[in-house]
Amino acid sequence: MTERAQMVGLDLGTSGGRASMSGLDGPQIVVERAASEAPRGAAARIRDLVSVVQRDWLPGTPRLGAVMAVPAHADFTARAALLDATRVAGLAPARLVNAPTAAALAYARLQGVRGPIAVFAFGAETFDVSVVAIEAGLVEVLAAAGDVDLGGGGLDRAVAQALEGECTAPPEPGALLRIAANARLALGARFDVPVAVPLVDGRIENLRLTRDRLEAIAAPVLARVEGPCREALIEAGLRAKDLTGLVLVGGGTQPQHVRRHVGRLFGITPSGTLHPERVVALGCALHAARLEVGNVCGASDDWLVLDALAAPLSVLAADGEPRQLLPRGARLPASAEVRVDELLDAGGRRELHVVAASGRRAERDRTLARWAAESARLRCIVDEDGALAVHCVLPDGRARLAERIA
Amino acid sequence: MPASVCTACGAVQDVDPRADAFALLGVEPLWCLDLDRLRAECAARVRAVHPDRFLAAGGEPLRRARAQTLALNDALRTLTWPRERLRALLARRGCAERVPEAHAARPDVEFRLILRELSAGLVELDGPDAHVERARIQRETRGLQEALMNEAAALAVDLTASLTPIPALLERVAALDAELLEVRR
Repeated sequence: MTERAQMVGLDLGTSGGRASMSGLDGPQIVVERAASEAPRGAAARIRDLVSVVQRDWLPGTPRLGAVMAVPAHADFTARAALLDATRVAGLAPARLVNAPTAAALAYARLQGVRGPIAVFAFGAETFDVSVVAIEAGLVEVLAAAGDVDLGGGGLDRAVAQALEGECTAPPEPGALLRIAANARLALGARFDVPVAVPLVDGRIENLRLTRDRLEAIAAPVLARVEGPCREALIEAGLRAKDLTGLVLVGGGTQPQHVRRHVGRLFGITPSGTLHPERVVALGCALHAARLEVGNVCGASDDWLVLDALAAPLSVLAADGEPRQLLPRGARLPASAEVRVDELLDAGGRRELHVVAASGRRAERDRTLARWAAESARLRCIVDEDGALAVHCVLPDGRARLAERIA
Repeated sequence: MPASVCTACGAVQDVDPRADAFALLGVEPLWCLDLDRLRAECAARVRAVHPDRFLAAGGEPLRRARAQTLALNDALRTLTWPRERLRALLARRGCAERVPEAHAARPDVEFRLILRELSAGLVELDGPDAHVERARIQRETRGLQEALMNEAAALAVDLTASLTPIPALLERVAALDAELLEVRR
């Protein structure tokens, strides 16, 4: 009989990577790597974190598995690539969990949070918002929305651009973004901060950034989070005042002006008891510990995590119009069957384009993959990791994996 | 314990191919369903068979757990979409094909947003003339809402009792769809 795998939590954020484990004292982060220290490529980053865990925390462990966090809006290709990376790194089994869901689990288990809450995940280059129902033993995502082109990095770029406009000579390349990020953080405790910008001619430009000016610069970027937040609430069938909590996740939520804006948006003071950059890794460790236990009913950590599809799954018909197969918010795993003949022109290509729509804007639909449509029906299955598989349903009812052609 | 799990040994069973969405979730095949209770019932059944519970075991138990969870989640989605619930009810009588498959059949977010803002506006109206404005909005929407509610109730009775000939029923569904579209405009 093969020995059961020890499970660890992994969070490969833009700002750095973290490995976490759950023990008698609760979950803890055991390895932390800044982005500048991490190797390139997902598999290498995973191997780097896991090797330290094996050396310092689990020496002699024959099998290691992982629960890894992904942005809720990570598409099917990104999820497949991450699962491949875990296999390359020698982790089995591996499970992907959406970062906001992991954060909700951490707050549920460590802070005793209950009721419907909003999880606002604002990373360096990601933005997800999830409405999550928490009751004893259950974390269920009711709705998820977001914007793939939004994140704290966008705010830094906006501030950097404004500062550049005030400089009397071009600033040193690459310096402004770091200065802008630091100034945003510093303005949490002060009303204005001095900003020293190194210029290409060797001089230092001494500027000041006030809290009011920062809020004016950030307003157009932060205004873009409002639409997805409202959509998530509507999808969940709730109003902001129905929420019992607001959880902030990701480094982008650390500056005070972002926290204030999100708090005003939901009409709730954000919870700040768990560190926004660490909470996801803690949630992964808790979930990993649950998976390690296996099929045990009624245990104190018998928490069920029900994730949901963050973007609708559609196929492109011959007329170029996407037809929705699975709606955003569908509980995972989920499946849908489609009659190929209804979608494709009879004499034309036998290809099925699977697309994920971001919001309702058709121009942002992206073809994720194409499959050879050999049979009359295709079955699309999105598993609990959010990974997509397409099966040809044969005339006798049997199904086999469709050939992916791009 | 649900039928998806062996009562003697706790092993996950294969999905019963004859079970439809109503049977999988253990509810009466009726048009009127308590959706909150349905979601809770689904979560309770999923708890026993979720793949997370069998990830460590792997192999056949994990495959069966995935299939069972998938079937339960798909059944929930079927019964929470009115059109798909109608198809499931008609399928029991062998005539599901009378209702065409409709991808993206759910009311869109924008429509729900308008309805929500309207109802929120009713509650939040304030000031000396609030009652006038409130009455105006209510007058404009009440008639239509009542008509739609009556129609939906009549449809539910017809479906449950199975007394109305199917073509007439479908015509009324189509009319109701058209009326909802009109409300949206």
